[in-house]
Amino acid sequence: MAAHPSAPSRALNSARRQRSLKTSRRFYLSYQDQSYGFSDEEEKDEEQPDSNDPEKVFQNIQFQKEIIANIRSRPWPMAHKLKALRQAKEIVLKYEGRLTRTRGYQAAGADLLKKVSRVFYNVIVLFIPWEVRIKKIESHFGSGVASYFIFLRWLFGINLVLTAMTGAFVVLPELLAGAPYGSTKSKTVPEEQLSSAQDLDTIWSLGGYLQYSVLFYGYYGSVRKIGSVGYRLPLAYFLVGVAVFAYSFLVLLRKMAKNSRLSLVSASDENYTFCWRVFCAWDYLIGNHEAAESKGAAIVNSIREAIVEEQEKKKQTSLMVLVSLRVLANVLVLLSLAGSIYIIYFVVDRSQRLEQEKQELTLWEKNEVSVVVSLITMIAPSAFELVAQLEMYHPRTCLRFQLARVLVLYLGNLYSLIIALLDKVNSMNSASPAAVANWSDSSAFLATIVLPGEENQSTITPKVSEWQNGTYSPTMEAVRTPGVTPFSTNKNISPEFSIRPLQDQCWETYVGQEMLKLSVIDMIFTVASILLIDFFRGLFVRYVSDCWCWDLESKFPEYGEFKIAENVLHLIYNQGMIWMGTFFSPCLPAFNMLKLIGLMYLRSWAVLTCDVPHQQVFRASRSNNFYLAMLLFMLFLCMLPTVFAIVRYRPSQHCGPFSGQEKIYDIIPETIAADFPLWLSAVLSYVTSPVVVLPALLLLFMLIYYLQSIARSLKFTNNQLRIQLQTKQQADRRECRRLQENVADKKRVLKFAAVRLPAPEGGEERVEEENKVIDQETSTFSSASNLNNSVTNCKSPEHRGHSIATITRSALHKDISQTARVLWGGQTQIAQKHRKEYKPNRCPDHPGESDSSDKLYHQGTNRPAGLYTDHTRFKSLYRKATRPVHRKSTQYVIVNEHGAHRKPLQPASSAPRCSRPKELADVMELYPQHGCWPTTFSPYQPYLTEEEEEGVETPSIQQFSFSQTLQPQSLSNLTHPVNFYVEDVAPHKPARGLHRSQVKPDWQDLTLQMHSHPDVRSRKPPSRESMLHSKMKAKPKNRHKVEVCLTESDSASLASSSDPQNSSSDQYIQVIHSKEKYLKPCNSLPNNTPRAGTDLNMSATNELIYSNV
Amino acid sequence: MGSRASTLLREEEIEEIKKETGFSHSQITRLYSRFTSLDKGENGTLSREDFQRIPELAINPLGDRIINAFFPEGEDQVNFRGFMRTLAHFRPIEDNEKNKDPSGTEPLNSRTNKLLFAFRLYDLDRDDKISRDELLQVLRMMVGVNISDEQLGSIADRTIQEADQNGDNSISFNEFIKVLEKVDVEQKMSIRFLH
Repeated sequence: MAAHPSAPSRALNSARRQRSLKTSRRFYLSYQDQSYGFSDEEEKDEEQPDSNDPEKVFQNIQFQKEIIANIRSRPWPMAHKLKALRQAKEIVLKYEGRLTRTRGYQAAGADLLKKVSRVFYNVIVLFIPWEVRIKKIESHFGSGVASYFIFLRWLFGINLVLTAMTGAFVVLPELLAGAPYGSTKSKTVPEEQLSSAQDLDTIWSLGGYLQYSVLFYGYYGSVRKIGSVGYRLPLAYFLVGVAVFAYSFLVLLRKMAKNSRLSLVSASDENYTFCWRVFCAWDYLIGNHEAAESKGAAIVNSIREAIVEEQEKKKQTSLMVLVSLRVLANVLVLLSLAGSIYIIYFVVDRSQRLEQEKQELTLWEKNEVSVVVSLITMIAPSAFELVAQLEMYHPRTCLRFQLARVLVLYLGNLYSLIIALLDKVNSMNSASPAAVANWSDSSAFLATIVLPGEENQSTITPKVSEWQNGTYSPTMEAVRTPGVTPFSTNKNISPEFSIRPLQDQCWETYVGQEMLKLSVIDMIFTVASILLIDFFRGLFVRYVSDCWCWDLESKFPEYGEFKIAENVLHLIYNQGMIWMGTFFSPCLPAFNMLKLIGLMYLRSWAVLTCDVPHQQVFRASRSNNFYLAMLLFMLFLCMLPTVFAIVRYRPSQHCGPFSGQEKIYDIIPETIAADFPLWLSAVLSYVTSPVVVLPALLLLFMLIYYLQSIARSLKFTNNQLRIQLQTKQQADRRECRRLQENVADKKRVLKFAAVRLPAPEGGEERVEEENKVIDQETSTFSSASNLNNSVTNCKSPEHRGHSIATITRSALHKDISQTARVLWGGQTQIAQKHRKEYKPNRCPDHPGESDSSDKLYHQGTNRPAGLYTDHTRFKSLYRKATRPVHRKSTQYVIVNEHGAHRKPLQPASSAPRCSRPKELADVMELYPQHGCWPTTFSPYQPYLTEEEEEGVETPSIQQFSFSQTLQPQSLSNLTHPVNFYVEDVAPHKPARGLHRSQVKPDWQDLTLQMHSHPDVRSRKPPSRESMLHSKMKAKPKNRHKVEVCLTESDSASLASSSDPQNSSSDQYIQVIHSKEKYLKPCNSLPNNTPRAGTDLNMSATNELIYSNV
Repeated sequence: MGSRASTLLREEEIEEIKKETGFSHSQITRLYSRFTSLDKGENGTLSREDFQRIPELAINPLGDRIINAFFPEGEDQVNFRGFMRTLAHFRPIEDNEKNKDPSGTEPLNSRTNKLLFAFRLYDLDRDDKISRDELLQVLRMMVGVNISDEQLGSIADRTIQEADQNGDNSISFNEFIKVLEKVDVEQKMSIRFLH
């Protein structure tokens, strides 16, 4: 007990409540429990012993066990300890049987699992490729740069799968079960090339042994089934080629869908961006120096990003200038694009001319095209970037534009190359039939192949090697010449071709070689550019800066920045080449994998060592679908040439898995025809007929349209919901803020009240004494005005001592009684007064009322609210009391009553100001409902009869009309009391809550007493008021004290029992709003009620009394 | 370690600490062993240097402020009681505490007190307001020299502007609470005892 400073007063309170019955004892218990804060759980268990949730039971048992273990150390009185211990043991005994022992193991297991999973997660992170590296980069360079590496990693993943597909289904079977090297012509390096097959030059141009290896299409045999299991390699080759594209599409689309989902989720409003960045930035668990550095860098970055975002928001320039600048920029970009495409064509053209004119080409001339293309891809993006600065877009938009432009550039390059290649394939295709027609009309196909090769070995070889270098054949020239039909051109040139070995005419291998070569050169250029642009520049700037005429680090060359846009584009470009070439060179994905790995390490090294973080950093969120959209675009565009080649061109006749077929895709019908039952091919022929295909297409279109529209509507709903959510959040936040303020206000009120209170007990006594005195005075006073009243002064000690609430109440009612008196003086007035005075008393006994009030209370948020409400309530009471007193004291004449009557009106009008309009409306509406006031009073009827017995003059009609109405407790009566109660009597609720059981008997006593002294009753209100007036200070304090205790117990009882006791919420909310002007509202609201009550009362009583009279 | 710690720590002392801070017995003994292991001088108190030996605090830009929070005004030693009193801010809020009677004094580990602790880290001059200068100082501690003064200033301005509601160009505790309204402070500012 000693541990609680407020314990003595509580003890007093409880002592005072000793009279109370069983229920109040229960309150006391729970109240006590509450004060100890620990055992309330036990109490709860007692009340709801049959909660079946094993989780709860388990927790409870754990809790009880803890209590048993620690009971000694608790600062409780011994009796309480014993009781708690006993209870705890009981509960444990009772419930432990319900839980199997496994329950405990389960809990322990769950803990263990959590721990293990955490460790496991940490370990897993180590195994995510490059995760640590990427995190490090992210922390230093921001999410934008990191996104490049994440993208790279993702591409690596795709390539891994592609490699697995091609490797497992094409390359490995061919290596294991296919015909070995040298077994056929298409798998052997030709004799004439053997001498140069290992030259660096040949290797460099992927000729020689490389050309006749699994790297390229030409090596794969056309035998339908290979190995002992009869693996259908050609079919597999074709299907894998299709699957590569299918898989890529699928993965891309899935990723994009996922990203768009993510972006929906993450789209939330950040209201306190900066605050959060500043206050919540540091991770306090970081103990590693490097991690701390990274974290610091990340903070710097995020702050920078925020700054840039803000700056971008603020930026303002005139529209005209902006538009013209942007137009200019776009024109410039278009010009440079056109220029680059022209240059590529020019170079291709030149190389073809050179090839035609010269027999021996220099290294530069051989690689001219690739070098020029690579140079353009290196330089143009920088030019675009410069141009982009003109446009003054938001960095994010700027990046997108940049990316789009670079993408167009790359595509232009790729396509110009591809077109050239396909032209060449075209010519080769048309040449070879001619050659076959010319020379191989004989029966021996093989002989024809061998013969020309042998014949022309010596003369042609140099030409062949040139050919293989990837420069463009003279045929191109011929094809391009206008006015000459391809056929005739071929005819013209065919002598030149005809002397070539036919096995060289494997155009698929040629395309594969080209793509692989492009990929290799691209890699070399990337490495070179990284070294040159990043590393050496960094070195130069770092070490030469000291002895240079200007500051290299901050002026011209500076350190390199990591250019996300170009680098991402480069990745896409690279991947495009892979997709384009995979069909012709199954090992391309594998090569690309190696390339990507190298790139990852090289790039990350370069970024961390040579580059500086962007000056302008911004968040390129990971859920950014832009890269992926570009990749998808690229995939589609790269698929086109391949598909075109597959569908359009005839496969080479002497090499590759499809040799001898008219078209590559013929492998499917052929397999179906040969290896599947007949009916299937029949079915398939139906399915592929226009009869089926056209409707299917239509259906597809319809489906697309349908899904599209559904997606659109879903998007719309999504937006709507998001908006709703946001408004809801905002509203919630506002509400929270308001509540907080309210609590603060209430605290203030509490303090205010607390200031005014002296010792509780003494004060009360004093008040009582004074009451007596004043009672006497007032009673005499009133007797003077009302002749009918017999002035037997009463002490009414019980009533007053019982609870101060009553006192205040009486103060309240004065108003009514007074007005009533004015209108109907004399005895009627007294009777009326009586009735009115019971009203408040009665309310506490109404369960129905308390029900509704309880509801209100629950709405009123939390317990503290309840507590404070009481105080505010008290406050309002206090006000209420003082005001009438004022009136009384100043003028106690009829005129005065008028004033009293009018005055309340004014507060009523002022009420809207302080309370919420809606609530106010409710308040106002309550009265009309009350329409028939008599019913409100009906509960008192019994007492009135008593009164009558006592010899007081009561109207018989009244008696009659009310006798059939309800007893105080009757339920039918509820509605009116409720309304009334909430507005008027709410203040007294706490008292009721506490003494619920107690109040009732007392009250009956009281009423009896009061009836026996009707005059006293009527007199009392005034007396109280005057007393209040004079002793304002003492009284509030007194009351306050009591109420504090009451509320506590109130809340306790609320927790333990479902008995609704509190009605305060209504008042609570109103008072809350009053804030700084709470004084006034408090004044006006209570007054308000009496006024309405009076009005109605008057009419009601009017009738009654008239009849009586 | 645990047994040694508990022998050194008297039972009644544990009781008092338990009452004051709400830590459980085992938690107190655990923290005591931690305390003794930090106490290099072995005199039953911790000095600032002892705290600075904790790597997490040493590299934390706000480390000094946190260490300061352990020391009462004008002292540079803290005993176990004081140590525990500060750590009590970080005691996890237990389920059965959440809906406790609010009329009692708030426990040290309440949300408000946790936030107050955090607030004090930023409120260098203890005037219950985070001024622009204080914010700048903290920011400077966090970002080092990587960002120009001007930019940092603008960040501080923006931060205050965001949080400030009464227009006094500083962040009061109430405003601080509001800013961190949505942050799970109860979880974040809690010692994670691995039970």
